[in-house]
Amino acid sequence: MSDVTALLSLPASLRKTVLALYKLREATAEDLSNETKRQRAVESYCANQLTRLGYLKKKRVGRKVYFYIE
Amino acid sequence: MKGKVISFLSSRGGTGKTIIAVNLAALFANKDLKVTLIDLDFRAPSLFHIFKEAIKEPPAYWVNDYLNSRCKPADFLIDVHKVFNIKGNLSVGFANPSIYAIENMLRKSRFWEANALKRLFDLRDFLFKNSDIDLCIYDTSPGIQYSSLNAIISSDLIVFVSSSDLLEIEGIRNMLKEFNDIFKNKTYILLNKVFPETDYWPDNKQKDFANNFSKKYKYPVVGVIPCYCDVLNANRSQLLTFEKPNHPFSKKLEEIAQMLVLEE
Repeated sequence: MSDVTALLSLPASLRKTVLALYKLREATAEDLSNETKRQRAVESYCANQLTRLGYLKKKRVGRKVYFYIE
Repeated sequence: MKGKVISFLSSRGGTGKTIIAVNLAALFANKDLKVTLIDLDFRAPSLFHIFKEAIKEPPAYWVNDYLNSRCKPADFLIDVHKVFNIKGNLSVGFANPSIYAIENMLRKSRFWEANALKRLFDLRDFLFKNSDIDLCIYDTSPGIQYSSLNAIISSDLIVFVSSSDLLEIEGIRNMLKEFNDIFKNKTYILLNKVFPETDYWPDNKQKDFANNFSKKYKYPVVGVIPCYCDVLNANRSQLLTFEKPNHPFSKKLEEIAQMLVLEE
């Protein structure tokens, strides 16, 4: 789980994804894309990068991958 | 109207955030909206002191308890609309003003603050999805504090209350510049306690004054409120917009309310 100062230290491109996820709680790259109005591929890239950095977690449900903040 | 959270912030204390937040909440509620007002200023809680005569006894739970996961949202919100005979619905969440509680909040860890941010998003869901609330107003701590940053992140609209003091302007400009992506499209500046003579200026001169500040901040100015001695001297438990709707302060807030929410 990231606190707000960690969030503010992120680059704006990644911060946008985290902020959208705070609102959605749990979301696929497509859900994030609908919220941020950026391309799905961009959201997928940002969410995976944030997961690698430890800010997000992800889980697979059937064919879909959901990102969430623990 | 879709549920919306508005945060009132400032870079320094004493700008009039609280009196504006309280009076706007009463004004919106009196327009038949369902409004919730929440004190997120844990360093200098003041909403309880404003409402304590009206609610008679201290609440069983405070906002602090909610953020500490000790209660549910419905437990700490106190309905005050009947006390003031307000048309709509106004509930208030008070921050605990005891020294023990203030000291306790100052010692919170980053992990706790991260959880507090999630609790604020849970509160949003409760207010807008379960309770059908139209508007939630946060009164926050001045400057960059965890509680005010959490409020910024979880809000739909941000209103920076500022005087025309240069130090204040610089403080706000720095924050806005640094976190432009967070503030853009949802931030307004509200100039408060400006020179009393502005009230007597013709409309075009008042507009030029606001536009000048808009250029300085690079964000829209939602209103300019002159310094009214009787507002400063008024009993803080008075809801001026409700009790004195024809006062120039109330009229100014009415215009601001229109711009912020009611015109949508």
